[in-house]
Amino acid sequence: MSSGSTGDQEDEETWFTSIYRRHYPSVLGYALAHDRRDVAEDIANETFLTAWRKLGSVPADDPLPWLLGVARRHRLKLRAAGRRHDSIADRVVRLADERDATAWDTGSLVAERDVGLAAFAALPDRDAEILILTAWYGLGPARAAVVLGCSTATFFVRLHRARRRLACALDDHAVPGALAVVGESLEGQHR
Amino acid sequence: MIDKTVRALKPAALDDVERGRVGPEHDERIAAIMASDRRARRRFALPSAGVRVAAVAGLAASIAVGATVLENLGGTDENGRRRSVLPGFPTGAAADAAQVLDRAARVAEARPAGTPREDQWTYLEERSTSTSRNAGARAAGDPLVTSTVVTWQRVDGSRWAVKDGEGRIAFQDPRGITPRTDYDAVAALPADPARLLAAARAQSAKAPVAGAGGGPATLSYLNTILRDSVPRRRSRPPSSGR
Repeated sequence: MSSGSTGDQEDEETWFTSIYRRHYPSVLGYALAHDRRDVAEDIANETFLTAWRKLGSVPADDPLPWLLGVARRHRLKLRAAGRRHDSIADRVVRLADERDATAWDTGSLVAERDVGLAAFAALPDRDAEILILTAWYGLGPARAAVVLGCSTATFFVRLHRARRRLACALDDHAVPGALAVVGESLEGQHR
Repeated sequence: MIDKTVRALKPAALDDVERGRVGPEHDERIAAIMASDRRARRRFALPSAGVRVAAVAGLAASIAVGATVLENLGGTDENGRRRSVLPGFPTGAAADAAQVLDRAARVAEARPAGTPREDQWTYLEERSTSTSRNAGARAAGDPLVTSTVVTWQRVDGSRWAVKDGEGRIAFQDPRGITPRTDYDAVAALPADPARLLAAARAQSAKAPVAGAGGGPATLSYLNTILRDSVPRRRSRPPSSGR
């Protein structure tokens, strides 16, 4: 989009405002899954500042994966600068409230919530990140690949490995009596 | 089943955030984002490279000072967290000083002027390092001396204070200080670059800098204005909500 005329400028401002209003909550939520509140807000603010400056690069039909990719890069830049950070599993524990235990119990899951959480915490954070892109944000492989900055094929491989590692971790952390049930439920679920 | 397990681990609190609405409290932030980059795209045509270098240095210093003053006015939110009064200005620790100044510059450019009260002051600390010789070029091995000058200027320009070399505060009659850097004086300057330069030459000729001709005196005059100018005073008392 060019900014040479007043009309173009108004179009840009309208478009940017629309993107911000529609996607700020999702970007902030993504950032909160990785960092505490003040850092997450910084990341969200930096993301939309980048979006404004590179407005021509924001996909008109589906801005969210692009925005999450920018947020991810800002997040990683902060970590590279030495900022202390929690793992995703740590954030799950910190953000949990009584609703989460109730939801787990009614979710017909074969493992106890603390087993699931222990298995999730045992994963490298890069695996946890891949799993939540699909499970928490409903991103298909192509959209999740945009967030990670990789090809769709690479994402498929990473997703498969992350799922396999979680399955093994669930096996490792399950109580002995439930091992057979867990194994039978997970068999054939790998895609 | 794996995805179902991972999905079930997602905290409900995150769902609350992602389903949240973007309320009017974000309007100022959106406007600040759009204004910050728009101003950064403008390029000022200055008369010479020397003036431009000095002006940029002065501007960076004044922006950093302004951001410091305003950032303390935010108060705290309901969780006791320090609230930033500048949209987008982080309240947490920045990764490095360059990030702080960059953010302060962007936000200060976009921030509407007018938050300090008339009875508030701008604090300016200048550090300069130079040769200990009184005149002439520095020879190898000559010691360098760093001096610090601390000044305060009331927002309405009515009072001026400086800390002397022994740490004592001395108030000065601002009528004797030139150029004037309070808002009213700066706002009265021409916006047209050529007329501004002519006005700066005329004013600096009235109080020539020691050892200067027209050019360096004008440079010094403009640099002082950029460096020491204060934010606009409030035209009305602050509302109780702030």
